[in-house]
Amino acid sequence: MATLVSVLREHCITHPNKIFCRFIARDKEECISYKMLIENSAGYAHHYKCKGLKKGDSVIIILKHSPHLFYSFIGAMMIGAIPSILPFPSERQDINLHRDSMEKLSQRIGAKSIVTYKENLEEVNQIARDLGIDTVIPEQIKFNKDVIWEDDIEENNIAFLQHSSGTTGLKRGVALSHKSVLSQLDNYAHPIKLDSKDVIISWLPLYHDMGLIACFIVPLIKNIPLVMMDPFEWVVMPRILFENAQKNKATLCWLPNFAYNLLVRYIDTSNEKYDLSSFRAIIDCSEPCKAHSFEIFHNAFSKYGIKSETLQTCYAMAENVFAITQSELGKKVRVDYVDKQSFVDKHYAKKADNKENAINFLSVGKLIPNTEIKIVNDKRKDLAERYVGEISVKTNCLFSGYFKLPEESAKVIEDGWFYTGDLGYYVDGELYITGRKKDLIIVHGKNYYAHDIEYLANHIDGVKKGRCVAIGIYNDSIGSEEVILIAETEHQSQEASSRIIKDIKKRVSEDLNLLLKDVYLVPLKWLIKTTSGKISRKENKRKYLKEKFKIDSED
Amino acid sequence: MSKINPKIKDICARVFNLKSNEISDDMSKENTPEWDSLNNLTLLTDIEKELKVKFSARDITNIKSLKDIEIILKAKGL
Repeated sequence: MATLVSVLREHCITHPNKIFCRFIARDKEECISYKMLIENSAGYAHHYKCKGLKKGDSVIIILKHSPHLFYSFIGAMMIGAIPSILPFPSERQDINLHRDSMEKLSQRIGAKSIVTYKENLEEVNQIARDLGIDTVIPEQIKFNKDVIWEDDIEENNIAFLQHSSGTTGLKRGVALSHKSVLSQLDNYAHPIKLDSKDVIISWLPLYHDMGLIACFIVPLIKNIPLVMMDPFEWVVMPRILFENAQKNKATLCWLPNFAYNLLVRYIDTSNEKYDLSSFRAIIDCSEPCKAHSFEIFHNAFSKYGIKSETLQTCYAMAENVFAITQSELGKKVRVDYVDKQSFVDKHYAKKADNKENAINFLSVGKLIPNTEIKIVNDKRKDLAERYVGEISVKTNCLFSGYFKLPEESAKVIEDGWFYTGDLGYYVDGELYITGRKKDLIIVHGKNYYAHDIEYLANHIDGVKKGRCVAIGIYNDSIGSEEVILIAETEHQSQEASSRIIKDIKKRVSEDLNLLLKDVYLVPLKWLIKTTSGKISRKENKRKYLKEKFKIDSED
Repeated sequence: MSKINPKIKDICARVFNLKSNEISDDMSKENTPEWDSLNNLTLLTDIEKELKVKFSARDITNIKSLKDIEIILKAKGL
């Protein structure tokens, strides 16, 4: 019976001095061996134990990019506690709103300890004091050679929580057992042909499933060297990904779709030279994968040794630990051209006779081992190949439910099948994602629920209560969706409109750390309702595009 | 009278999707929701291209407001 902790213990015994990670931040590189990793994590394990934490207790980790993210996380698992990494508040977030939502989350998951950084400690203490939660900063943790290995951790125990989208207070913790995580790693290692010669490179944050699983847990447990950079340094200097990939001969990397477009835009190919031929795969995941992004990436960087077969896709979600499908490495990812009319009118992805008037979808590949899939209609009945419906999955690594949210869990799990809320079709053994049933908008790989955005806008003075709608519109040039908020208002003066727009943008930015592309104020009764009386996202998106850009939208 | 280079203001208006009269001299990351990390990257790259200047890694890290940009550009002789 293996657990993440028992595997880690094995690594520590068999190759203690092997470098697990090159951690790069502020132009410095820190090499972390398995031994260092465990002994530093033991410092946290001792602290948690000393504060009375025991198996099954929750630990929240809010840290900036540093190896202490690893140590505090592993330290919690070593004593059987359940760690969860959350994003730290941004400069612009309203601290009162953040505090309020953190308080709700801490209460709901019954957090017993919060690990944070010095500058955030006072803030965290305000929440923790009232709830009797321990708080600690890395500076208070002492390196400890006396490593604790809790013996009674079982494979079905929860290993950690991954918090899904939603404002902090409404975030759902995806509970993942040791068994589920280890099964996923075994399943996924096969299609990506994971090998001891691989080197994984990442700038992804660890509060995101792609960063946490593909770029931390996979290398940690599968004993693959990792090169890790700071997400905030990458976003101001995207070239550091290529510099470090070249230096370390990286072979695998996972990126959200927007990153492909961003690298194309910001790497100066006429003056910068890199050798990126070591890459076996750069895998597009976490937001809809686009053929156009692959095309511009390949055109720009083929001179660096990037082949079209290097660019791969994956469909993944936290509820399945990570991957559900993976495109076939070494082969160019398939693009399916579909008849637009049939797709819109019949929800049938009929193969297009020619590329004119067709929509294209990039395949996200084949099912990984031990994974079953079915495409279903609204009544959860199976659909045939090429029919668009909800994607549901059954695997040996599905989550056990949303942590302490049994009703939420029951809505999406039925007879062992998880209903993803994503729409797609299946053909010739490959899956294609076409959209989402749930009102989710993915911006730069981060998930936002439309109703969270609307809730905030509804509280702005001047917006007609209950009369606003948030929509996502894909922007080809940035490779991601952008969010537009349409709101009804009685105010007609320019001054009042400017103030309302500014207030909405400010509130959404402060609370969700999301920048709205446009706030479109409309007169009363502009918004279209469905027959059941709900504001229709689809119809209003259509109306907005037509009114503002004279575009007829097909979805 | 504004002290910020009008070219910089034009770039800001375009990148942040704002009207030119909404660009003020005291604009900063903190008081401008539109100035997020990705728009920051676009802003600095566009300034580099249009003013034919190169920001160092240190410049990029230090820039938090329009005034910071103005000071750095002045030091580069612009």
